Amino acid sequence: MGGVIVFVVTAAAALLAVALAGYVLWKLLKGISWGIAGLGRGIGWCVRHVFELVAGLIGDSLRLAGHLLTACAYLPVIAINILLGRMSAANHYGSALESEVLGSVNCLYRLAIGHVARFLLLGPMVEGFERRMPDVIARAPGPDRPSGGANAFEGWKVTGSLAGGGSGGKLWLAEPTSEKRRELIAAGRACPEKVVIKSFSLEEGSTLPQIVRENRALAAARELGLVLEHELTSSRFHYVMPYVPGEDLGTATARLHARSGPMGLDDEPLRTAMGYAADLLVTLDRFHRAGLWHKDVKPSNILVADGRAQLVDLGLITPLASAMTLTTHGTEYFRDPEMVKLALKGVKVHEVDGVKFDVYGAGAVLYSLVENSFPVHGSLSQLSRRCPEALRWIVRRAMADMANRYASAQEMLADLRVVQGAPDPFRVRPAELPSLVGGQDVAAPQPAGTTPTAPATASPRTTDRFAARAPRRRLRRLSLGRGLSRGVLFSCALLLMLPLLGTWFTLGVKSLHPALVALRDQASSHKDQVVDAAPAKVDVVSPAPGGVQTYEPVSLDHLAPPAPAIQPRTPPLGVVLLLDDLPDTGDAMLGSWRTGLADGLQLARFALLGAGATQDDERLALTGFTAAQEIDLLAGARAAVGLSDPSDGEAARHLATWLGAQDQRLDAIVWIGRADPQQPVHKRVVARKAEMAERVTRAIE
Amino acid sequence: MLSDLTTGFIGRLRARDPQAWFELWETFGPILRSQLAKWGGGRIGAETVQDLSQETLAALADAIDRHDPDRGARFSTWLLAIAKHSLYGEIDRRMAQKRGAGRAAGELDEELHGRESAPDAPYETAVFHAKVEAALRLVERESDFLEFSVYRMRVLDGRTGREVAEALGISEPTVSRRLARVRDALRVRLVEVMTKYSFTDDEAREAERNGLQTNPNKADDALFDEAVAEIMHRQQDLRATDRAAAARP
Repeated sequence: MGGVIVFVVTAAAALLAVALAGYVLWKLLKGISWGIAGLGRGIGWCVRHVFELVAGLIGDSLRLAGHLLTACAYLPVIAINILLGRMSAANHYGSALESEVLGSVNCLYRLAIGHVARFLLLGPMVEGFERRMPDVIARAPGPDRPSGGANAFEGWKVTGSLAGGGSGGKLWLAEPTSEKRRELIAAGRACPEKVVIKSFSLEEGSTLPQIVRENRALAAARELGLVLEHELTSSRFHYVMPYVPGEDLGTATARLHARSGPMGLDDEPLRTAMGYAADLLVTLDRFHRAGLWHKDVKPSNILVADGRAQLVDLGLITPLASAMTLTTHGTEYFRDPEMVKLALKGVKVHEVDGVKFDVYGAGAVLYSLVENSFPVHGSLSQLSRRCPEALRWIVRRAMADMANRYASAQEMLADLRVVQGAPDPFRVRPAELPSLVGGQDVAAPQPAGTTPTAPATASPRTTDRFAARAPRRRLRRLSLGRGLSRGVLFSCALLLMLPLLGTWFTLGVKSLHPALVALRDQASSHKDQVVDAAPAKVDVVSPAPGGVQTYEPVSLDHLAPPAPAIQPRTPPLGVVLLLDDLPDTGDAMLGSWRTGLADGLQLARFALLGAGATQDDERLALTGFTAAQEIDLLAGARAAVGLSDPSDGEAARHLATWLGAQDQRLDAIVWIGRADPQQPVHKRVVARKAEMAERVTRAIE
Repeated sequence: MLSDLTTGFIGRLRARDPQAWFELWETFGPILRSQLAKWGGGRIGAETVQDLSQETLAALADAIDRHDPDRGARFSTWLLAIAKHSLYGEIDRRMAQKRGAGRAAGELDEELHGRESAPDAPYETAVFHAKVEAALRLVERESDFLEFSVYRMRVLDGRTGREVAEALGISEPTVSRRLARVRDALRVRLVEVMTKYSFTDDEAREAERNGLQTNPNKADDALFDEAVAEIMHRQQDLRATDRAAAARP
């Protein structure tokens, strides 16, 4: 028995020893194989590292040779063009040479420093040169003086420059000269200490489409009273705006977060941030009331100074009622993806709700204020930093789907004011916000910076109010049985009512007729009341205008390919340019009045220029002008009248002078506009001949 | 076998419907950019990756004509092959315009089924997550704002039912009802999206394999919500990384 036990124990011990040895051996082998694999990986990494260095050196040497060869090839071309006097072509090749030289310098840098530093694992040390510095250089302002020197813009002394945006224009800082100061004061206008001049020069690389787009922005800026003066010459277009000092909102946001820490904004910076958002919404509301869509709401377009935020950059401003095709312009993360989809569909601007797209941008800006980051996930972006629940709600409501979004900046502002004005914003519940409570009257505009008062606490149960806001869903909630029984009852009632309805229709319509007529008359009188157009005034071009400022006719035709000559199919009675200076507020009555005016002229057999985008080919064929010439004429006429309205006789004389200098095919100008929204619409006819002026006046009256 | 939803969508792509391409790019763009940047190992600039425009992709839409379901290529593989092909086209165009842009159709087939374009597991996971996000976006668009807010606060923000009820001034049972409604809608949409962007049965069953039971089942609700929240947080990180790469000069 003892022998058996000894045998079993010995056998078990032997087995255990074997298993242990096997385990140790296995681990040893595994360790060796891991070591070998690691060594192999290390050698592989070293080989790859050396190979990357060699490949980089060879590649950049070849690139350097390529850059130098190409640069050498440009030199004789530049010389030949200079000899032939083709300076524009020489400039073009000069720019190409510059880019080749820059490429060579980059290659030299990589050969001498970049590759070697990366080989020695010092890559992070040279990141500053390779990544951050080019970015800073690209954003640096240009030269401090325009090509014409400090006095290139009459009445203004250029003192510096600002970094330009993506519009293609250059931004100059300037001060008014003493004459200009006196002139502005004499005209009863505010005279700012500093102004920004946005200038587009064909000689300095601006393009015709950029000028045309900016011209639209100029019209918008004029509506808002942001432009002091503007000028369009054959080579340059510029306008002058008061200078808004400050830093951009992105920088201000970073500073607020730096003061607060990684968890999010502390109470005071949070209030400051909400103040910025409120200022933005007040401005947007002003834009929308003027019928304008900013279209590029983002932190870098908002300047902050003295605790106030101001929206700048008018480059993409579009009238909400514009008939132009919607474009995808804007900035990713601050532009609703829905807008891109609609633009790809080819819809027109007036067919979409531009206000809601600006509201989306405002929501994204508010998100960036809270998070110090971009809303990379669109409407599903998470708010992970410290933020009152009600403020989260506002951000999400602003960035929600179109149907669920705030209908206006004012509605969003009303909600924001409640959070901003609360003693403790973190105690405000979304259920207490006016947009949920239903108290739209809280949304009455308040000047930015004033301290709003929080409304009384809302009822704790808002379910019914939500249901009232979504009747479609409430219907869906009806049970099938109830819905069916209601349907049956309704059908029976309708069947009983049918004979009665038939009798009423047969006997009653005639007697209702006078009421319908009265209703129509009432609508008609309302229409007259809304437009309230003043009778047209007539100016005829004087054969020898004396003492009136002349305007150089502008021709940008050399930039566009020559258009084929268009033969008018029906000889018109005359060609009339419609200079429409009325704001595009989307007012249906005003729109219909405008259409009526254009129709009247067309019925009287006048061919129209500047009458919108519809049936352009047909319309232009009748005038005998090309689309480029039409833009040219409109820009020239607008420059001639400046910021005036048709009631201004002096401006009308300028317009007449300008007309006298134009192509003889243009017979008359109908200028419509008004001094302010409270004034009646003024019409002014400027024509070459008295007879033509009379005919045009009859057509528009 | 491709479903009607898939063939309908592919048909729109082939018909050069810009909206279909936008939808594809909006849903899968960040993943493709991230994968291409990863493959590029720093050699392909962020700018080039960003430049894979819808137009470039649309020019390659006919790749689906040569798709053979019997060979078992997945939707994710097809997507990546197209994006990669577009990238090469873009690089060709930039570096050697005289050679002509693009590659021969035969080469694309090789890429489609070849080893080179075989996507890795993280890529497959990211494609799946993008599908879930697409379904959630659809539900967000269709839902009542309050209803979706309840879901967002409860599931994505991780608030308790009581907190949500208090914030919105509604009762806890109402929170539960609205939450359930959005969850049900999401399940329906998830099935649709999974079917739409799947070439193989295996792909179509991915949701259930990842804890997203598409058949309403009370016991699975908590797991379902948890999985959605996890996926959405990862998607947020992915998009943030994508933006950071795009912002890099």
